[in-house]
Amino acid sequence: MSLQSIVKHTFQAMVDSGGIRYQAYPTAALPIANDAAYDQIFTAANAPQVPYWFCGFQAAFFGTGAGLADVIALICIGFGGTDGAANPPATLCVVQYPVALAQQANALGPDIQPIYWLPYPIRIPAATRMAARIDSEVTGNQGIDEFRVILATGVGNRQ
Amino acid sequence: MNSQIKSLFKALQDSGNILYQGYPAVAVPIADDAAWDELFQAAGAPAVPYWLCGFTTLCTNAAADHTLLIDIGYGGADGVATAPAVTVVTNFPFSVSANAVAIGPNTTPPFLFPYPIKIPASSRMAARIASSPTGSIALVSLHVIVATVVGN
Repeated sequence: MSLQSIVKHTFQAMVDSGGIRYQAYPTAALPIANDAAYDQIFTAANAPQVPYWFCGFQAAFFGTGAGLADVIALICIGFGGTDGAANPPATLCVVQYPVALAQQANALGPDIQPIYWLPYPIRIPAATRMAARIDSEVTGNQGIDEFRVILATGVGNRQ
Repeated sequence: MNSQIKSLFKALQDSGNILYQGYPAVAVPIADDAAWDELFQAAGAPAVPYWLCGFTTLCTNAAADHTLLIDIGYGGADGVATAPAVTVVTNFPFSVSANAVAIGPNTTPPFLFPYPIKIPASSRMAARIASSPTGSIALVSLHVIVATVVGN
């Protein structure tokens, strides 16, 4: 890619694109157990059918029931590979990303679950599945109640 | 290319003209009913092209866990429950764990997108809770954060 096209692409992506669309996947709640096994976020057929950008993710720990102890979960996220509920991705793009929560009393928060935005969105080929896992927890032992990735399409397409 | 580099630089670091604004200035409740709610009419929108940078929302008295998937769009005919012509944000997750009232602080942060989305001048906007995989609760209000004069 020439410098001119890089500048054009960046400019359009940053300030001159009306074609960008954000979508979160999956729609249904996807729990991820603390078992180091991969969980499929979506299949290749359900992925965007155009190149897409992985912008961030949400890992919601509700901590209901007996409340939540301190947790530091190290999360891995990747794309590609063969469809399958527990199949690993072919390419890892996030490795041992730390998600930390302090202990809470039941029903006393933490409250709003944050979005973990990646400062540089990652470009992923069209029709590519994604999968994630809790690689390990250096503190605590809690599963994620709901996990979602936030994707963008149409980045750099001027409209 | 020179003008593109100049425009990019100004947009990022050298523009004193960029203006951020939250819309609307009144509360717009969003019911958990999959119906669209108008955030502002075309006449109330910026009269110049603008960029959707993010949004802030709020729900209270969440005595149970909730996950609401939010859609946001622009265009279409004015109308309090009229769907937008173009949906630009689909199923954005807003999750709240069970909390007791009056235990705080409990600040809802703005959700700012990595790539602001350019929207034509004088375009209305609407939002909805598309679905709620966990729980069911209305949003007290939803406000978009937009910028104008980006890149000038």
